[in-house]
Amino acid sequence: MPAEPLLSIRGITKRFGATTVLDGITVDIKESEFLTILGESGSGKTTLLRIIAGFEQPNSGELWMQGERLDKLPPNRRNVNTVFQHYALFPHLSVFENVAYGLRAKRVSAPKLTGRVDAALTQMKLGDFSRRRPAQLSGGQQQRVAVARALVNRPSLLLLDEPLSALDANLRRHMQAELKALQREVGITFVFVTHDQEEAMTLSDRIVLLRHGRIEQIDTPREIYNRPKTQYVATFIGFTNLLAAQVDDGRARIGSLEWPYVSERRETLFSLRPEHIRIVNGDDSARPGGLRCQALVRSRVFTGASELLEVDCGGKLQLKIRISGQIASVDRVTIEIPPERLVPLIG
Amino acid sequence: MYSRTYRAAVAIPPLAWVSVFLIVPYAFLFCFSFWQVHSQSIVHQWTLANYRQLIENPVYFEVLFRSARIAATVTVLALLLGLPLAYFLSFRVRASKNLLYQLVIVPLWVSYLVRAYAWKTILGSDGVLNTLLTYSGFLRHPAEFLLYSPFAVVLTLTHIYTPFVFLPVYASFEHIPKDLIEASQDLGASRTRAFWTVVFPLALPGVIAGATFAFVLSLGDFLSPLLVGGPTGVMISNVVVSLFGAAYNWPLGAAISACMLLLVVVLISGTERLEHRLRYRGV
Repeated sequence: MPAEPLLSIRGITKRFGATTVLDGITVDIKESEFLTILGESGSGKTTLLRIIAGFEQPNSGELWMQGERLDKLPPNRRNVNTVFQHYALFPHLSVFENVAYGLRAKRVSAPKLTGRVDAALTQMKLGDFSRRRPAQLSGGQQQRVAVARALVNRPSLLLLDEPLSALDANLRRHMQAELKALQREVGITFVFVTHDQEEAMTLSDRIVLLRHGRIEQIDTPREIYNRPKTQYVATFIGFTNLLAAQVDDGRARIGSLEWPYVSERRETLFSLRPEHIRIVNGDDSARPGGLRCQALVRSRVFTGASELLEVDCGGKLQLKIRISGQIASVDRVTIEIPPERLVPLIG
Repeated sequence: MYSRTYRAAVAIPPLAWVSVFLIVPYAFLFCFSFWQVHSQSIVHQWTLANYRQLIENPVYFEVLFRSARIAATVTVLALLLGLPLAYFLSFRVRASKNLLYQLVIVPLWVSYLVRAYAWKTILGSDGVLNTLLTYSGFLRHPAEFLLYSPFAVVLTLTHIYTPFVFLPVYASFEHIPKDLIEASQDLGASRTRAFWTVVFPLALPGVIAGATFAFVLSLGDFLSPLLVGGPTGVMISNVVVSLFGAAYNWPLGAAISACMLLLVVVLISGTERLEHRLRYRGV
């Protein structure tokens, strides 16, 4: 029997006027997991976060946290804290007072409060800045204050609303690593909202991919990448080849390729990642089940760590191939596709 | 670069305006305050007698003190009305926000005189309020104390100057990022706590500006006391008006005006500094 989820999101629907922003969202969030809600702008990811935090009320559906109905509680009574997109630090309070804010609201005694705030500041390497105002800090420091201010309350759940989007690329990567390490250290469940698929892949234990207010897929980054369920997932995360194959008699066909596949649908779309296609040298022995075909090299682009080829297999079958090693510059190649890498997509 | 003549041509009209209508009159005012009246005519003879009279005759201090008390009461009442109103409009209303905002502003477009007179018809012995109270049996005889009293002055001035408090406070509230209030609640603060620890401190410059408006404008007001104040509701400006009018003692009137001016300038520069400090303390 699986462990009781920390937060159970059950059939959450949210409408703004005539627009349905979230449509029947159901997710179970586990204890101590790093869950990312990934989606483009307008996918409803921020709204979902705001519903968990309590700033928006869902039109229908329920939130349950550790056996307690969460969605009826006001934000200040939820054991959930948020790191806001623009940090939302109180400009009139010092760093110390910003971090102490939640503890003061909970009337934690003075010596305890000082101890906990100092510990949080030290943990986030902010010890020297406690007397400064937020405006006297850099973006990265402000971000750390925002995290310290939330974590000092020891919430069951930490919500992060695109907290890295305001930082430049280098600092962003640095903060990603810091956040991931911090999450492992404190063991608190993180729900992280982002539109950046690479960020989601790097950080998450699981990704919830949202599109137009519906869940496209919930899976580990590896599964989402290797076994995308829909065309949207396959193209949103990384590069892919989309192959529209004809299915008949337990076999799928496209161009000169043919492999066993059973489906009621006559036409099925398959995703094939460019790096899963192999280029076969003359003396290479065929792997069992590998689909081979001759292809004409249309173009090749060197991108540093890898090389991207566009090949034409005839019969309107064009493929992108990513190879990491060196290959001779020839016009004709033999390619091999492991059939298990052909992932059927629905929708 | 603009030519010298162009710059001069642009600069002269406003400078001339300020000189003719501000600097010169003020200079006259200060001069008059050091002159005297002898047998019904103003003598251009330098003296400190007017200022000495202000210090020695307690009547002027009493009136000034009463004016300050009325102005302070008006300020407090205008804050008590304007602050909740601004809060309500800024944070609680969504759909009819604009309409309500206009409703608060509209009285400013109505002539001051009309608004003051309106209170006369409401508070008078055969006014709306008394008619209502006697008709419904609450009072046997109309209450005389309503009109021509400091109470009537405070009421009228509060009505007139509340929008002056509301406007800067509302603007301050509107400038507070909503996510700060959400952050406060997210960290466990109730609405009340969020207001006193986040909203109010951040709106304080606006509150001070509004309070300064209400106090300074009420302090120098002379129409309301004239229309609804009666003998017990006389304020310092009424004294000045009568000194420049029937009493024909321009020098003494000018001395009072000069003192008032000084008082107000000190007050405004003080609150301005405070506002500035509060506004930029985060930077």
